[in-house]
This record gives sequence, structure tokens and C-alpha cells, in this order.
Amino acid sequence: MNSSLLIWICVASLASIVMIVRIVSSMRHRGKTSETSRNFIELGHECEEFFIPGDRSIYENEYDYDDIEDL
Amino acid sequence: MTTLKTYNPSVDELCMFLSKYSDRLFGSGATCIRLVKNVSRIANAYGCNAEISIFPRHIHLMIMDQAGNICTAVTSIQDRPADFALNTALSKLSWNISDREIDFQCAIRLFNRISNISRTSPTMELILVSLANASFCRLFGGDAMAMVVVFIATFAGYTAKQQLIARHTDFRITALICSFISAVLAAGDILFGFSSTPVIAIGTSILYLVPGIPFINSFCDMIDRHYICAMGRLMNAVVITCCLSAGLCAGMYFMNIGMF
Repeated sequence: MNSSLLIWICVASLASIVMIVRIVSSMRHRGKTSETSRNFIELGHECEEFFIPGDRSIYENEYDYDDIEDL
Repeated sequence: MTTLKTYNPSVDELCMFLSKYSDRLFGSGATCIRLVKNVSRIANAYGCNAEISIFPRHIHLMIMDQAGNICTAVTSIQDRPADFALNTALSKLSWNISDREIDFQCAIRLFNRISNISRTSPTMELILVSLANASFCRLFGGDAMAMVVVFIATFAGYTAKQQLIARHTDFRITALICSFISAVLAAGDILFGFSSTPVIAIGTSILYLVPGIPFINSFCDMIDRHYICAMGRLMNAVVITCCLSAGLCAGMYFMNIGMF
């Protein structure tokens, strides 16, 4: 077995071990702290995450037609 | 509904808050001009003036109120990965403090909340970075199998990067190790003959480590005449580039790929 193949096998094995450890630790951490778990995919408005007092609700109409003056 | 300012902070309190704010904002990848404008905006909102000196590793901040009281703070900048979402949130906070007259205690709570939220899923980030790097391989003329090889090499290298950064490893060493891992795994394309464009796979496997943001920010700072920060960021980017190049060269050397 030449040295290149040996080095490749060693690096691939090390990388596989790191990935497996990461997956296992993330699954254990998710099981322990379920209230801080994040959804894999989330869709939403940024206002739902960063609310600052005085922000208008995203569900309010932006335009109030009674305020628009007729030209 | 407008929130009125009910508590005007003292010069000391405002200076301490702005020094933490500056550290967070600058560490998240903001340019110097953004930092100066945001800090001045917040200081003016509370009736003070701010003067700020930005160095590559420290920020000197001086706050003076209308009565002539002065407070000076020096903050060291913590090494953190760039986070544009944090950057945007902190800038939005400065605008809301200025426009909506947010109470100082509320501003502190919001700043702490913004600083402690982690917005990106590491797994999603890992997959998207791997896909992006595989796309780069395609852009440079790689075939489908080369894209798969680059995806796997990037996946492994970025996983190692996340783990090393979580353990507070110096980013230069991280770049060296991750580029070596990605280069060796991508060199499997030559070893096993997976694709017809193995050289492109090896070359693009380490692109995820290229420090694009420090390079761009250094030029932005240069345009705004913050030359010290610009040169500091440029030197940092050059060092990181040298480290990832060294990892790539080491990978190619150990895999006996003809470059030397």
C-alpha cells in the first residue's frame, strides 16, 4: 500500500470519526435541552425575532386608506 | 406607541455600554465607518458626544456629555466569526435608540438579547457551505463527480472547522488543519480516478476558507481613511490565506501530487 493511499485512509477515518462524534454530541445536546433546540428550517419575518418596543406589528395594514388625501 | 426616555444614563454607564457595543459590532465584521456612525448615533440620542479610535485589536472610546463630564474606555476586541445578522441587528438597535427614544435600561436588555442569540443552525450552515463550494467547482469547470468530491471534502473540512472554533483554536491553525483535510480528501479524486477534472476538485476544495470578508472590509476601511485598521485587517487576511495555502501544499505534497 503506497504512502498516498495510507495518508488518505488516515485522514478520511479521522474526518469520519469527527463527523460521527459531532452528530452524536448534537443529538445528545438536543435531547437534554429541548427548549433551546432550533428548527432545521424556519421561515418568518425578522420582526418575530427582534421585537423592539414601538415596532409596529407586521400584521397591521401598512396603509390606512382614510389618511390618503384625494388629489 | 412611542417609548419615552425615562432614564438618562450617566457618562460612565453610557461609555461602558458603548464599549461593549463597539466590541460586539466590530467583532461581527462591521467596517470602521459603520462602527463610528452607530456609536455616534447612540451617544447623540442620549445627549452626549462620542469620539472613537479604532485599532486592529482595541477600541478607544471617549464620551462627553453636555456638562463637560468625560469618560474614556479601552476595549479589547474579541475574536469572533463574522455574523452579518448580528451586524444588522446591532445597527437596527442604534437606529431604534435614535428614532424611538428607547429607554437606556431597555437598550441594555435588547443588546444582551441580541448578543446571546445564535441565529444560524450549524447543520444547515455546514450543508449550505458544502453545496456552495461544490457549485464553485462547477463554475470553474468541474464535472459532476468532482462536485461530489468537493462536497464531501468541504463537508469534512467545515465540520473540523466548527469543532476547532468551538474549542477556541487559533483560526490560523484551524485554516491550516482544515485546508489539509480538504485537500487530502479531494486528492482522492486523483487517487481513485472518480472524475475527469481532479485538479479543479483539489483547487476548489479549500475555497470555503478564503477570508473574503477581511479582505473586503480592509478595502472599505482604506476608502474611509482608517488606514491602521485597514492594514491590520489586510495583514490578518494575508496570514490566513498563507495558512490555508500551506495546508493545501502540505496535502498535495503528502499525496504526491505534482506541484513540487
